[in-house]
Amino acid sequence: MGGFEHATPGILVLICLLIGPVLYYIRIARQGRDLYVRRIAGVDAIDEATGRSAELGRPISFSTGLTSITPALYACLGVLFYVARKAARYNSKLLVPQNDPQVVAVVEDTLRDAYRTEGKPELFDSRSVVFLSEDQFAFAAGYMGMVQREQVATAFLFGVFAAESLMLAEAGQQIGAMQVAASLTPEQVPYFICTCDYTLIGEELYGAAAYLTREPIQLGSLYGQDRAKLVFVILIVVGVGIATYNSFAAVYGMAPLPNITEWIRVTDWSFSAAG
Amino acid sequence: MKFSLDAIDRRFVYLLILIALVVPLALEVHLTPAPMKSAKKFFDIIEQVKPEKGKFVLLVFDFGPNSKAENFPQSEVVVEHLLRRRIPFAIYSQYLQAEPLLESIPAGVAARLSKEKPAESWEYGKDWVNLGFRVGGALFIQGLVRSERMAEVLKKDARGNDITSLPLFDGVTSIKSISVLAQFSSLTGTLETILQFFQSSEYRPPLLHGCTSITIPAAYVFLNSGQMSGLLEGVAGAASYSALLDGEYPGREPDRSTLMMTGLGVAHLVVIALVLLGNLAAWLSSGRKV
Amino acid sequence: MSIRSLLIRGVTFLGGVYFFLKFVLPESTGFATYHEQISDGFVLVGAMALALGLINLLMVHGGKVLYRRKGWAPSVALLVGLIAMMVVTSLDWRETRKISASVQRITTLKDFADRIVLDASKGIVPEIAGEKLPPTVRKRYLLDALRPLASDLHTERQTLLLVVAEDSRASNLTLQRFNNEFSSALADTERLLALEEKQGEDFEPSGLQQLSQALSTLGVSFRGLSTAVYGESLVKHLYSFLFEGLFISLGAAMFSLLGFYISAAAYRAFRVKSVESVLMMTAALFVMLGQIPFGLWISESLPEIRLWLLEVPSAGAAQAIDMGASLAGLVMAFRMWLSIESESFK
Repeated sequence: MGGFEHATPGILVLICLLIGPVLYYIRIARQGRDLYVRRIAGVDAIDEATGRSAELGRPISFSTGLTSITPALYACLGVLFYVARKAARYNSKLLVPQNDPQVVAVVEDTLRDAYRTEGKPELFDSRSVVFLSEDQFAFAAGYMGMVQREQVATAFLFGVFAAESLMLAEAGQQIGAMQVAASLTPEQVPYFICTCDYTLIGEELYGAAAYLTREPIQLGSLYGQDRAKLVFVILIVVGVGIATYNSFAAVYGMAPLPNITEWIRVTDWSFSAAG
Repeated sequence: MKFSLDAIDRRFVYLLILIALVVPLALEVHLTPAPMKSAKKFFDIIEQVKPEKGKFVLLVFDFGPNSKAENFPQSEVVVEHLLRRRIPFAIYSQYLQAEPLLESIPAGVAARLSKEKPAESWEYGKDWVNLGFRVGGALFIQGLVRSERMAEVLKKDARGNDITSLPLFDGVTSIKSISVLAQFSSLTGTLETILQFFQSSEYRPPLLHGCTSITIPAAYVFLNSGQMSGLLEGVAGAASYSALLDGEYPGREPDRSTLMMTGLGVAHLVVIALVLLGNLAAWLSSGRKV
Repeated sequence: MSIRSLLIRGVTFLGGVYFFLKFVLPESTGFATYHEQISDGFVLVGAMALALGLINLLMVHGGKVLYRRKGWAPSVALLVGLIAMMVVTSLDWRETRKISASVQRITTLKDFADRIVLDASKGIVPEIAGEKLPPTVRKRYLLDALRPLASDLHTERQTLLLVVAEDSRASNLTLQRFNNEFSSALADTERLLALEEKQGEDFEPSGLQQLSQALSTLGVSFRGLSTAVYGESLVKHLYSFLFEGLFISLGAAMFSLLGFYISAAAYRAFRVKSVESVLMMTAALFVMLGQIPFGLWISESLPEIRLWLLEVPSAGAAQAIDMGASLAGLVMAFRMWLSIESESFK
């Protein structure tokens, strides 16, 4: 048994198969080729939501939940950048409650850049990034109090959430806020679907920034990872086929095929079927 | 408050749920819980463990007051099973807020069993050891897994005793001394850390898990793949395990898990009734408008 | 590209390449020898970030209170809670450190005794500043250090017990137990100390082993006694009130809100409007009824149906979402590592 702490040759090959298409399509996109991305209703609703907030004269709230400094945060920041530019354009108040102090610094920087890009640096207020608590439910309590006191018109919930997701979404629901959520973990998706107007599921969060900005790097990256995923789907189909064949082989006395997972797990590239 | 059936005020819904939960608890109604195959697998694994010198079960309590309602009954029934079968176990946690529970749960269960069986006694250091909160998460686990003598990594228990002075650790060497590993958690990431790192190239202890209801779908992924050998699904899993203990040890005093499950069952029925009523009312009112 | 940008990209790349090589290279290469220390460094950075959070809290809420901005009252509650918790926790930490330092005097001598026995069994004779230290000499040093400590511990025990009120001393069974254990352990230690002193220059490993065990018991019982006495102090009561009484209870209460919220959300959202919603409702009904006692009154097959729903469609969907998100996360991580950022986000 190997590979749980260190890469096997099989895992290295899979990493190359994943990254290769990404680099290729980023290059293609930079050359100006148009890459199709399917419509995502929740992402389309971001413009509508920010506009609603401007019309009602009530703030926008953007929460990254329990996301720490991880790739998921950068995906959320892409959307936050877009929303912040809209807020600057429409002169709407933007509140960004935070759970992780390290993220506070990164988010402040992003907001400052967004306001500067929109040509309104004077509108940026560092107090719009509010550190609430590192504790999960203290954060939830702080968020709920904040959105209800401020009577936000629009709430964005993008990132990693745990059990407090329903509380955050219900707080916005109770004041009639329009809510767009994006959850990376499948456990929280049902709660967001019950309480939010639009929900992005899993990797749609990563695609959201590409969809909004239509930038070559982001589009190419999105396209490439989808192509790479095909490789994994093929591996799954082949693996299921082999497992199905082996189960018949055991019954009818035929020679079994080597299990595909062994190719990924072994460190010495021997193709034995034993674990 | 509004009383239209398809738009009942949420405060009325909260009130109904509160009544549904409180009444069975107040009346102390214990109903037979639904059987769960995942809990049976958990039970069977513990039943197969034989008390052996130099071997012990390692329990990991990665939960705090937030999910105490679900993980506490789970850990209580499992600790009771281990104490009844005289299988020595050690407990630790990667989560600071679990620290008081590491002491109170086994002590509480041991006290309850001593009342039930006055002729028997359970001793700290021999039947169980509290290893306390351990910093480092994956790093601590990796250190434990790599060592040939776990006592050198653990050093002292939560009470300050030298590990080698405790009878439970007599004959304990590497992780091969851990006959079963059981983790109770609601925290994201802790199960994955245990799955990934709690194994050496030669040995992986059977992993059992107690989760909260929210993480059941994710836990089933690992149960199906065989990376996990048994699962307790929230309070329902604890209640099912408690029923299995009742079958094995007749005359046992009912514990809080079956009581909580009865209350939860009534609340489930209330929610189902409200959903059906709401749909019926919406269907009837849409019919009238046409 | 500016120097600042180059520096950031360079440090990011080096940081990422370390972890990538650590994952790729086998352990036998010794590449990850300092992994624990490097990981500790990251933990330290995270700890320093706490100060950022504290500054933010003080800025936002302090400003609200000072200038009486909208919503200043909850900010007062936050700041009072923050300061109270910081003060009490600092005092608690200070007191527990004092206890650990006191116990450390005993455990140091215990470790010394163990070391003397171990070195003697291996024939090791250490040397300090040109002077050889055979076991007999080291034993003399040990006894010279232990004698005054034993005497001090008598006084400290009396001082500790005086701090506790008479009625608390009588009702606190833990305190009484540790007091008795400590008295007995101290008497044992003194008896063994006297025996060793009587032996003079003779060195007997078994004697020192017994002394080491007695010191171990003494350390544990002294810690227990000191902790039990500290448990009766005002600081500990305040800490228990704030942490266990307020913080933990409020956290549990917040989690329990979920039960009410999910009921209201389910009632509001579970409306049959399409084929998919009928399927979802049916699945939800089977899962809910299959896990409660009343489900068995309807049909014995409900738990099996529930199990199938969780094992097959639900787990499959969860795995699919997880896989997609994980692969996307890997790609994003790769982009971060190589600083392939979008133009608008530089």
